[in-house]
Amino acid sequence: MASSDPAPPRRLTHDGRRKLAPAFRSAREIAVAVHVSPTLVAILRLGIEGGPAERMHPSLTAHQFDPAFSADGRRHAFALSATSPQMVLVLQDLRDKQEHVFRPRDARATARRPAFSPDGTRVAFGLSDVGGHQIASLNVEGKDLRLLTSSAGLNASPAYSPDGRRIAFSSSRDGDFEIYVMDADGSNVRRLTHSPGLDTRPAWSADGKRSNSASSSGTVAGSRGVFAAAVVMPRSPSSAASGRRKRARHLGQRTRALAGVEAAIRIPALQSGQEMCAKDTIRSPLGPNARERRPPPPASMRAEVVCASFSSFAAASQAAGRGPIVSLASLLEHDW
Amino acid sequence: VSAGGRSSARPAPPPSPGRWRAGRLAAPKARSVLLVWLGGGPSHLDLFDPKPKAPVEYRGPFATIATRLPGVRFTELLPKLAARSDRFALVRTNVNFNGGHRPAGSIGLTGAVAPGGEDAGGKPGRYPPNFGSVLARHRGGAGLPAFVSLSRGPIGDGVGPIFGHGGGAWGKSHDPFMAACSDDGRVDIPDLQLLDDLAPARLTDRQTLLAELDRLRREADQAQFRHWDGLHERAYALLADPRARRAFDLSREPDRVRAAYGRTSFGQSCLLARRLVEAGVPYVQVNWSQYVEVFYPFSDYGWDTHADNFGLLADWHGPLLDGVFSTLLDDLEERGLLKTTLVVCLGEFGRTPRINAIGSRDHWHPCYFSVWAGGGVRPGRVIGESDPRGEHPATEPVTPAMVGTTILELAGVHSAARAQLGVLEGGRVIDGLL
Repeated sequence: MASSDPAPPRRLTHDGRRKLAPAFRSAREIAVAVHVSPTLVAILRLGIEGGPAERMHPSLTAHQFDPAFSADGRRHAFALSATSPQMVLVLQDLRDKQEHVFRPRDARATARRPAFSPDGTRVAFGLSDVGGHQIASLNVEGKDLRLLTSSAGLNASPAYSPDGRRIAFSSSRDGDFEIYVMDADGSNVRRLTHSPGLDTRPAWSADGKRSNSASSSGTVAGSRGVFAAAVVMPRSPSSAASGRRKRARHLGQRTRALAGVEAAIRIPALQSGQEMCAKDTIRSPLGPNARERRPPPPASMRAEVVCASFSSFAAASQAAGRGPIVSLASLLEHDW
Repeated sequence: VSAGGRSSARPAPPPSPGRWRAGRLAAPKARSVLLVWLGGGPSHLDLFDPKPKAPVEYRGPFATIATRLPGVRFTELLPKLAARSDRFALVRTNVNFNGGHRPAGSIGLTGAVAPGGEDAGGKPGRYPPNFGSVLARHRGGAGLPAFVSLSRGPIGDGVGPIFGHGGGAWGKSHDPFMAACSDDGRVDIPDLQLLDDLAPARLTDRQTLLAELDRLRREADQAQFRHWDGLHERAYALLADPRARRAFDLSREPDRVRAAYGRTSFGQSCLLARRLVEAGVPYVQVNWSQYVEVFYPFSDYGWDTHADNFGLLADWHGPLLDGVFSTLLDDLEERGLLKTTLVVCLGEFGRTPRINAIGSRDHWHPCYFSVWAGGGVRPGRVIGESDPRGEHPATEPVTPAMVGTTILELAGVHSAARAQLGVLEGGRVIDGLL
């Protein structure tokens, strides 16, 4: 984990358009869903060194959401509005120029937020279809559908651990959205967060070396709603207790431990997010005095998080250990 | 006709223009009305009326946050509006009488359930007028249109337009003046598009306009001219008025203000609405429908989130509404306009409290919300209470007729004037709102 001071966040976009779900296409390129016009959300790619953004799928006239790439960059997946108002999952082999489409059963079903397994053989995603809002997985040809959850509430935003053995995801089965983790086959589900607010879109650390548990395979991070925070937690909540305080210091953060969570770290580099927190958060995980507890820039975040808050900011970081650590990118011009 | 409306078949009396500006009548509390129409039906449970204690198949995944009102909570999708909850009133017991977009939209925008509505093969010409048409007729107008509707096209759904969007039985001359506002602030006026050479950008002064009109009159045959002359009279009158041209020109706004509203069609439309109110337009309707922001192709109806309700609300609809509507309230207040501008925000209905089979929500007209601010409204209160699952009002329902009566009453169209116009007779205002 990085312990040196981070480079300051570098803003990548200035057009003021709404952007969500950034993902690294390569070490030097990010793909992100952008509200490019009132009638189109499209996936754009932009270099982290600057330059114009370009549409990844210029021939598509339907909305595209949730870009994802395999670790080797060969495969690409995204959600595509198909018909009224179904959303299908498009799986592309960028090397062999092949494309497969997974269509849910129901005419209004949706497939969202794909995530590749580390070996690039499967794609987990959120499937809203007959049977509820579940986590499912496919092979890269869009076949061999496996439902991984079957719970009440909503299950969404899966993310494979670096070793491919586990999947973190968000679920509302116990109330509002919290982060859970399960084995890659859907078994052994455990809840990781117990916080008020929207905990969703988990991501794992790239190298999996942070955990102090032999059986652990990484660190999970997610975005926390209006609070604009990233939550960094060990894979096993029980392993957090002894190392929590030490690790928090090591991160160089001013943190406050939460139940089942190692540390809650605000991202002060995002001015818009700060303003929103200071002015508008009625209750936050840090309590009513969050303004006074603003931590210093989070060095560790560089290597930890790929997250996209639903309302306040979008952030990107290093993906899968490839390439340089990328500074946080404030992809939104506005604080919403 | 039910719900407090009156038969549209009755001949409309002559206009009764208000003369409060001239001092003959007391000024209304709301000099202007700004209606934000959330077409498609926003989910009340996921925004302003959360039910965190309801069973999991009802409550949805969003946590609740406190507001400035003791004991009142919104979902976490609305942090900015929660922080401004002392500036507006919230009604949680709105009801409609139809579960289809077009009939419910017509009822919601006219307050009346007319026979032969959209679902019964009716015709727009039999329908009662929109609240905006009523106010425009009552006030009259000079220069600026009295009723402006901001949308890229007629509001409605994939089947057709909402009959209650305009003048209805009063005729097309009482339809709203339509204008479209893009995400970059460009304003298009559909009535001007038939004449390619007459773009607003070229018409820098009245002399240029008149010269262009003369040229067109010479070139067009008489039949053509009569046709477009009737259709576009208001549009050209608007262009001839420098004050009106300024009102529609968003480039006059500082970048800071335009950015605060956000680079979306909805955001810039709300900014344009503020400019129109500032210029004196009595009634402006901003439409968030498929013609403003679209997140599905082919059949997106704004807030009609039959699929992926929670993902769309979390990523797009919730933040957009929270940010833009908060900015609108701030802007109106900072400019001293909120006191004299009635701002109302609602859709035609809510969405099913029980989550559907594919993890989303469908239409639900027995209970939904509306937000009211400025223009004589007592802010910082919640009117009514829904039942524990948000399925029905637990207190007195607020009907579309009550919505319309309240709007018109605050705008100075009192009962006698409504009776003279033949609309919303016997209607009453929403208890506790004023």
